[in-house]
Amino acid sequence: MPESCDTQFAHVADMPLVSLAQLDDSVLAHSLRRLRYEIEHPEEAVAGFQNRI
Amino acid sequence: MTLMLDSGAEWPDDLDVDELAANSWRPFPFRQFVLKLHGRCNLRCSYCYIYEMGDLTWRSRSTPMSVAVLERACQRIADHVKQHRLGQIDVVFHGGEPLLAGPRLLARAATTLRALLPASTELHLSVQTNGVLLDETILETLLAHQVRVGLSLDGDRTAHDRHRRYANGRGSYDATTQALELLNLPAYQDLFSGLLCVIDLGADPIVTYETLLSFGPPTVDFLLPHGNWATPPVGRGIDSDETPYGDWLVEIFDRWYTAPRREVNVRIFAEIINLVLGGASRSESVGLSPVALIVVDVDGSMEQVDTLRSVYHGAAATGMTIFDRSFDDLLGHPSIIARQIGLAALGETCRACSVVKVCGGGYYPHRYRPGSGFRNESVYCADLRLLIDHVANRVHQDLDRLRKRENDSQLPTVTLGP
Repeated sequence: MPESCDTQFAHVADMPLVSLAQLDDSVLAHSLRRLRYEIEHPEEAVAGFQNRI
Repeated sequence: MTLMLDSGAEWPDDLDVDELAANSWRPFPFRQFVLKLHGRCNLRCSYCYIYEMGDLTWRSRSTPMSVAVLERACQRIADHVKQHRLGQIDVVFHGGEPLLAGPRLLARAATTLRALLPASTELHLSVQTNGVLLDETILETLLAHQVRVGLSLDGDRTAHDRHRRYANGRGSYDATTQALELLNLPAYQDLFSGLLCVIDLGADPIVTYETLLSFGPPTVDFLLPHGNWATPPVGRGIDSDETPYGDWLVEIFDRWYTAPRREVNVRIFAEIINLVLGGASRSESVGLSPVALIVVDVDGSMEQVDTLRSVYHGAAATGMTIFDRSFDDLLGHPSIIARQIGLAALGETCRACSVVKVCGGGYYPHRYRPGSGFRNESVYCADLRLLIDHVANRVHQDLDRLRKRENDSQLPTVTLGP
């Protein structure tokens, strides 16, 4: 897991993952999916160019 | 890890690379390459960090990238990819205005890269443009080579034309929105990667957001105007506790977060939420993820992120070119290292802050202060703190509600995917 996953805000381990079905495509559900993906793919945890989309 | 500076040096010029190596630090290979295909621009935007701020490098580089530079740059990228066995890279065509380079150079860049890269490496190509030259001929070229398109639009006509003008003072809103109409045609829609908007405190934030939304972008990003402790941003005093930019963004965040459906990805908000949840940022503007981008200018100079040109003349320079050095050589440059070592690159104020892993000290060019260089909090520190606290509170409220709902129900667990 990337070191930056360990923030004072991180309560992921306690987070009930069961609610995603109810959240549909909400912002939070999207972020939770991305977070799980990052944990599984730490090599992609690098930052890119601000001035582009 | 504590990194000391000799007296008189500005961070990170005297960063102790040997000490880092002794602490088992290793560089992250570059994964994003910004190619400056043209050194000129057909607009004269008032806030432009290339032409209107501290750097005058553009005066000697106002040409398109030559084929010799382009091919050497592509070869260097391919060598770097092979050396580090990279499975995926981004290449961004940039400027000045990259479309001034014309469709042939764009096509040549895409074709050369694909020919040189290993078949196993996924190549993501994009171009960031003002849209003025985006016609069907260019779009057909971009479509043929799968180059995605980001456009710069600052909101409604009034906001956009206040800053984004031609040299004769005429606004560019009509040209940019015509380009957006073309880009939204079914044939090209998949190329549309999103909109960039530089924040203007004189514009209403909700009107700005909804104007951007009306063009159907998949992603929107709001950029803070460039400034630092020596040259403060417009509307932001350095000794003030006011948070005009934070307030502006919070208004949009609430509008965006409480929408009945997910209308668009707003990058700065999505990144902060991800960081609040304990993830890693993929944007250099927030978070502590190692920055893995490098810029190749029209003459083959290898440079740090170009927005550093807002700080002082030569701030982005590394002194290396693609003709005499490899990208691996650049990984040992103090200025590149400084953006890959996370907390160790930040000053004491930042390291002691409770949200440092979310803001990451703020955007690197915004941290500059004469004397101490880039080892300072962002000139936007108060604005970032306001926004981050607001987002974090909102996300935590939702998580608390989720927990309560889960405790009250017996729903089956679902599997998370990317």
